[in-house]
Amino acid sequence: MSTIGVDTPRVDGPAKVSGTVQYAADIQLPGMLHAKVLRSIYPHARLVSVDTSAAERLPGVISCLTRDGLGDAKPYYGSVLKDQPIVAIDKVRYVGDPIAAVAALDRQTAEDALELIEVEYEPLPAVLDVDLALRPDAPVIHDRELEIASSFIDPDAFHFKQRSNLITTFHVEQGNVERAFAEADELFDSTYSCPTVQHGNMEPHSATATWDASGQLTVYTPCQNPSVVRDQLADMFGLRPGQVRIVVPYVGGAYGAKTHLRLEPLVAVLSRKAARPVQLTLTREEVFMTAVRHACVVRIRTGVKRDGTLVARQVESFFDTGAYAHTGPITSKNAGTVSAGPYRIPHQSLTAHCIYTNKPPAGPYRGFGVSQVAWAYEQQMDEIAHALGLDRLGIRLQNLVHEGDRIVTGETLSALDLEGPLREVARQIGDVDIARKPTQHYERGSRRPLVRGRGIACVIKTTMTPSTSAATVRLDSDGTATLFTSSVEMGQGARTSLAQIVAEELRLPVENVFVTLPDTDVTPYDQSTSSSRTIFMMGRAAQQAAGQVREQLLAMAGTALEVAPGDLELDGGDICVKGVPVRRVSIPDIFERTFGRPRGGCLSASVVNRAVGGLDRDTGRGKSSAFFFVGAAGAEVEVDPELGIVHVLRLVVATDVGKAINPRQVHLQNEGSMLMGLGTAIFEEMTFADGQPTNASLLHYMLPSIKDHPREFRSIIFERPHPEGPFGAKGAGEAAIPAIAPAIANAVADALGGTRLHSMPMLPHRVLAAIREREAARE
Amino acid sequence: MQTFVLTEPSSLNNATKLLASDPDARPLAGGTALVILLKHRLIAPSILVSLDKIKGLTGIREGPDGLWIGALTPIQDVAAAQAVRKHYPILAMACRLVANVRIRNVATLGGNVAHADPSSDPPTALAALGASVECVGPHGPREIPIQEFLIGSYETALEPGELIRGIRLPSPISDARGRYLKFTDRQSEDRPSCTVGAMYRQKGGKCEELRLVVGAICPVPTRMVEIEATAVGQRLDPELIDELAARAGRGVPGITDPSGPAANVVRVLVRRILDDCVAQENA
Repeated sequence: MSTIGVDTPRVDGPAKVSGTVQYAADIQLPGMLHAKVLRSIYPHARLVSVDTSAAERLPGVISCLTRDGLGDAKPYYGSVLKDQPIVAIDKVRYVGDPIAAVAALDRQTAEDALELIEVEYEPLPAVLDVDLALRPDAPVIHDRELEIASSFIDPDAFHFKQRSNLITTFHVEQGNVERAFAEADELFDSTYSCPTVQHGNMEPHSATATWDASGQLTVYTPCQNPSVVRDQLADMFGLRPGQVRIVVPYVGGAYGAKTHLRLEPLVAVLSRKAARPVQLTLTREEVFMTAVRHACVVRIRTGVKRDGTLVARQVESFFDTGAYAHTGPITSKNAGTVSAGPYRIPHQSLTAHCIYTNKPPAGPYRGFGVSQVAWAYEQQMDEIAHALGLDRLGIRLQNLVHEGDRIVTGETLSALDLEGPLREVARQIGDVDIARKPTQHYERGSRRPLVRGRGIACVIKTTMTPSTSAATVRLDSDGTATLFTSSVEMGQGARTSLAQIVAEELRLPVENVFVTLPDTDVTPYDQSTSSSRTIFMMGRAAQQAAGQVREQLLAMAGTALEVAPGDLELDGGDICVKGVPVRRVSIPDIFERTFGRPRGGCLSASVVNRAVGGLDRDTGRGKSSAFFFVGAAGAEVEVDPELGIVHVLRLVVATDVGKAINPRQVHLQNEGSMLMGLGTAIFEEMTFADGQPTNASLLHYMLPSIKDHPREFRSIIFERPHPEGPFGAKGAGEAAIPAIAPAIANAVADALGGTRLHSMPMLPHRVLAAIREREAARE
Repeated sequence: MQTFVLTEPSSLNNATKLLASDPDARPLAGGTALVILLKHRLIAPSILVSLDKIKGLTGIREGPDGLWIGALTPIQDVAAAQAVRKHYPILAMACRLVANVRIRNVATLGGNVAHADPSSDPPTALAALGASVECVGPHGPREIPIQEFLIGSYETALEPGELIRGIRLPSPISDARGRYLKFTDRQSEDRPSCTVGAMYRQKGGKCEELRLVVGAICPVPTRMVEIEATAVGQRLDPELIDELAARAGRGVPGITDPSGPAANVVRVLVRRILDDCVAQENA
């Protein structure tokens, strides 16, 4: 029986549910010290002096780290640009920027020591949004020449400006938008914005570093890309990659927040200085200062024929990447390529800027920039439908991209089905014709009714391209297989799905396949557990490696049994003669016949799976993605027009995942996306006062609660197989999320007769302000 | 380094003595608020006096002159108690809306009142019901009306060493209707940013008695006495309710902008609660 398409239970489910899984912060090493970080209280300041002498005298303090104690470590790091210092060198660039760190016998002592560190700042004017950052007289946040990093990206993939708050601009175009605008019947021009939000990863960042006598550095960290983190640390310390070992335990949620170097450089330097293992685990407040999603302003202009045909679209997005670039240049580029949405539009001009501000560094967040541009283009689709009196499903179907279409980057779309998901969510959510009257519903005691509305949205997203994943499969003499992989298990179920793939190739029961957690001393290279690429890239590598082991096993069995290997097949841990299932020998027996007793030996194979592509930095053309995610969402909301409260009653998503290796896990990915998307649509926003975060705690930063969970909550899977994915599978983690917030916003606007919120989240005071503004405009 | 001594006295007398012995001693009831304050280092107690081992601080008792609720009664138990649901439904409504069930099972009614967090549900309902707080301290017991007990944001009339033993509710107003409404401007499990509690009784279509309390948006639950006085003897038709609601929006201490969002929330909630009280009565 096939193990593909089966709801195999999580291999790590019982251990996680019973609380026996060890997470990074649970790691205890002999002699381990605990670190705490002193962080900047200014958004932008020159660092005049840092004095740790009093802190060093505090009993229990073993070592303090400042800019003067970095030794021969390269002081700056970054996944794209080496702009981020291990601890502040000459300036601090956001509230929370690390200035110094203390390693002590316990956490409390380390924390007490922070209060004894004297810091002298010379405050500088701060740049707190993208508009201010781009003004000619704006203070320049990075005023030195930045080195381009090479262990994660092709350094030639971007044009970087130096000594500028504008880091890089991606641009791609086709046709002539200005001429097409002039010829269009109607022109729509609107600006949408998204605030800084945080991932809400349940497990905080934590890293534990230790150096051995030979000079090997080991770091235990819940990072999403251990191979790259290894290379980045090796580069920082002038080591060969083999001298750095990254061990990744189970990760308690990441969503992009744990990509690339975060705490690892600081604990590694501190551990070397203290000559002891050092562990740093962030508080929740520090998590908010360590990883956030890009705030973004999107201006979108669209020229339309009266019948709803889109003829031209110009999109300019401004991504606020905060104080350090992190993956911002990639985020803005990838979002920029698809910022016109999943539509056939002959004339397009798409521009995406990546901009420094004095805010926490923004990096990957589930959806990778597409959520911000989809918030704009899917709301504008409804604006157009509303203005032209067109059906909202109809206008989308009329303009939708299909397989075989050439898109703006010049590549041809294949293996994707968006029409199916879009039609299905519209069917499930019910009539979305704008001519339909929104339903009204009276609460007890309320004289003005609560109003209900419906909305839909659909999106397209790329995956990291080019990229590389390697897998090794080993079959042992007892008939069990082990997959050696650097893919990270962060709650998405990679270990289970990858086990299913290997089991299928070797016709083994799933419980006879083990999947490692990453340990770069043992597990081969993987670029990243992100971009929803694990099943497509690592799954394919694992499938091929397992396939090679299968061929080796059949050859070995053929020799042992004196049968042509082509006449043999595998079945449930046995080798049988094709068509004669009663003639079977177990795998252990074949090993015994080959290698003798006691049983030993193993078979193994390694495969490197490389997705080629990339976009030309001058033209924006090339191959943007190894595969395309598509998804659609539908929402029904109830709005209290007197208090401004939005409640999502129903939420439906449908995604094309190629092939669901484990359908239950795909549904869970979609459901997680639905709640994250709902949170950003109506609750989540990091707030700042003069650059100071004012709600950096779970008391004040609002994630959706169980009471906010829609009563009806449905995920639907479509499967248009991809020829390069294992069993046709693409990715599942992010296909739904960018569609959620605009679907909810479209439902809110539907409920309010066209009153639309251009800024997320749709908090009560914003809803009321939008209603008032509309009423004022009518009077 | 932050350290404290945890003590578990078995009598109220010992607990109050311990608390009176050290200005930095703090009582520990359910701990749902205290632990957050500790974690954020907003308090640094020398002694934590756990009230867990003291007998007689939990339970709900009906008597001839009302209801007594032990200070350590979990909020969930208050919400679920037959006596509360039957005779003081607005307290049950308010308690049911506190945070989530995990918190309600641990947090206590006495702790909630002693914490005096303005953004909280029970105090508004207790004020509308005319509750009083039964305290014991080094100078003996005393009973303080809830409106005098709550002095300000996180401020109470408790003297050093004094503890809450229980909450007393007077006999229910016969034939009165009560309602409680809560507004959260963020997610649904969030603490309220505005609460309204009302008790209403009418005869012959006219208001005989009204108690109207607004909370959370102001430091302590506030009785809207002028509005109550205006309403008595009147037929509360929609126009009058609109007017009373608009006045309520302007009349809450601390609300300076009569057309701002805070005044709007009060106005809408007061209008809805009065509409509902009248509708229930006329049903």
